[in-house]
Amino acid sequence: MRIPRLPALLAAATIVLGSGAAWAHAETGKLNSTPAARNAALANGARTAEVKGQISEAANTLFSYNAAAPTKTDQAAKTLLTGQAVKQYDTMLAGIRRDGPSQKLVLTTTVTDAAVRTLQDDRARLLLFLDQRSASGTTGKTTDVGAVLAVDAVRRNAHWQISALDPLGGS
Amino acid sequence: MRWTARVLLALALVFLGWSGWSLYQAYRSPLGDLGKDRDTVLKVGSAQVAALNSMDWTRPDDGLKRWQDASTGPLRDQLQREAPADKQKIVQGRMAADATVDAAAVTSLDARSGTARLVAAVRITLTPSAGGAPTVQRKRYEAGLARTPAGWRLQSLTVIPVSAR
Repeated sequence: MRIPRLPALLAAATIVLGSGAAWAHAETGKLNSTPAARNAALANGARTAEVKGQISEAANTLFSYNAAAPTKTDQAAKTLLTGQAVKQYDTMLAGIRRDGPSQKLVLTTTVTDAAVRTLQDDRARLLLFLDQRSASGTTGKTTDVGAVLAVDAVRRNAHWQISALDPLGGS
Repeated sequence: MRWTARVLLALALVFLGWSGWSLYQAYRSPLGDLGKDRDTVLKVGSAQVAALNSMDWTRPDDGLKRWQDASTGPLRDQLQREAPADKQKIVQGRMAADATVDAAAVTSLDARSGTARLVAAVRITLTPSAGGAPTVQRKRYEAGLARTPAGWRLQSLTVIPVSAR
């Protein structure tokens, strides 16, 4: 029996090339799916800067409060928070909402440092360092505290919202 | 029949070319490398920040050695210079300090120059040898790292103060 040379050669070449391609394809998948490669924090500079900026601004707004205009903070909370962060935020602000009006409280928060821990598609985890100054209009007393906040964020319609808040204690 | 074989061969060739190219891209991807560096900096840097906040007063030389090992450049020079004074303070303080990094993240990374910065929230448990109750101290740090032949090391460590405005 004589097998035609050319078709046999072509068939062999097809199998070899095809397997080589399949191997390379699988290998690429492995390289691109390591935890280090999946996390785009810093690697995607533009998106890292975007989430850092938007979430820092959100925290500045959410944790600033003026007894003279308390609804301003409440309004901001509606657009900046989502999911379990809504409830967590309410718990964190309960004391200020309760005592704010009678003590004429003004709370000013400034995010001094922000860093993105993980960034994957439309989800991010950040670490925020905040300076908080509270001033009481009735006693004239001001206090400054430093705080640390771990924040989860989700991106919807080109805007980042806070989806979880985890206070890590201050200094 | 021969025609089908040729098409199959051509397809296999195209598939090989495409997957070979994407594999090459994945191998030399600066993003993957940056991710790896970032994760290393976070892990190593956090451990070094903790080391520089920990001390067992009964073994000051070991502790000071760990401080040295965790640092490079200006920070290492400073620690070396102040080691005798530090040792005296440690022994007189009779206090064990045990630091844990609660959270940390890399804020910048320059792979070419081999420098990076990270922020860390640190919890330090201070236990007096006299037997009093331990106290907990919290600190916020910004650390600068440099890549050395032996790996990433801290070259600066600064407490972030609450700004008095």
